[in-house]
Amino acid sequence: MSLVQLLVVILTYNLLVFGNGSALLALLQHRFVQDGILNLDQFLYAYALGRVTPGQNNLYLASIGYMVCGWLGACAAILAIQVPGYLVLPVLKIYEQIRAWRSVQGAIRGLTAASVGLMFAVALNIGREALTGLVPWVVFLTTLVLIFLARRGMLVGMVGAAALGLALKFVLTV
Amino acid sequence: MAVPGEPRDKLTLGQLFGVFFKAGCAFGGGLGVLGLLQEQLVTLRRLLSDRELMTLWSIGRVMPSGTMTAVAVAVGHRLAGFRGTVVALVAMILPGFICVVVLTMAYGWLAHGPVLDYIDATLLPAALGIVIVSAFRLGRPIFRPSRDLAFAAVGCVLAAMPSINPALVILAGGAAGAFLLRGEDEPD
Repeated sequence: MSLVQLLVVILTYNLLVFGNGSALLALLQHRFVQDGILNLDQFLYAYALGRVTPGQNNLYLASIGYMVCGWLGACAAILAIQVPGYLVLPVLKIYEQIRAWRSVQGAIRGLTAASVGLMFAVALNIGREALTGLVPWVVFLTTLVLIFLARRGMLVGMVGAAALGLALKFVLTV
Repeated sequence: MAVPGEPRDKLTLGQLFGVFFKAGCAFGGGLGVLGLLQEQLVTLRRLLSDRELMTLWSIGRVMPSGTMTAVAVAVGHRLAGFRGTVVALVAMILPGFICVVVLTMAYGWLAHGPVLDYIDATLLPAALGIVIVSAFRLGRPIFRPSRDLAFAAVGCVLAAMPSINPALVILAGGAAGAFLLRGEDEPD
């Protein structure tokens, strides 16, 4: 697969699925694994990296890009998933013109309220996957304690709790 | 409410880079990044309100791109113009991009070892803590008996169903809100 093909495939799929990460994953698996560009092991490894690295989950596409075309492929993959974000600028421009309309204010309130619900749904899903034993529960609760009670910043809370978890897991394993 | 796209307060490009780079260091996917942005832009620097950031996130959620990509473009544009969009995006992506590529280069060593399991078992629960804290902070304005809260509850139930595209849930919330929430007093 050439660099341009890689860019076009990821850009097209990204636009098609409209923010649905699962659907994007299915399309990518079909294109890259079933067509023999990557093996399933490489594909799943790339996907796993999106979960264990900082930032947005869709950065796993950089891994796929790297496996296909090296550093340039990684950059092209990231470019393909970032560029559509600029569509938000004309949308906000239109929003500025019509935001005084009562129905638009209602729509934004509806969007916002549904988004809050979505955040809790995502938290539930992550919780189901993440809280599977003693160490994850200790890490989770320590994060909350550090952020709320010790009033540490989120980053400090997260890194501190994860470091404690790593140490605990190491001790329990040895 | 101020207009989410309107320039109001400015940051230098260096400050903007710092804010988004820090946010890009958060684990937990887009919501982890959002949590750090909320802390930086709302709590510490008071450049946006919770409601404004939440509105941008909601609009970003229905864009055909990563949600936080759209948020970074919108916030970067508001605080530092077009150059701000590029700086915000690059800064937010950089930490994760470098980690992903370096770990991909190490595929041969790491693919079948325990390292990724270790990271998964410790960072994911910590990220969950951030996601929950940011959900409570950003949802604060609607946590009172109201139609907004009912919308959030229905949105949560629908979005938890794996067969439903979350973007559709949010769009449906917007469409229903246009009829059911128009003209109502906003929760404080």
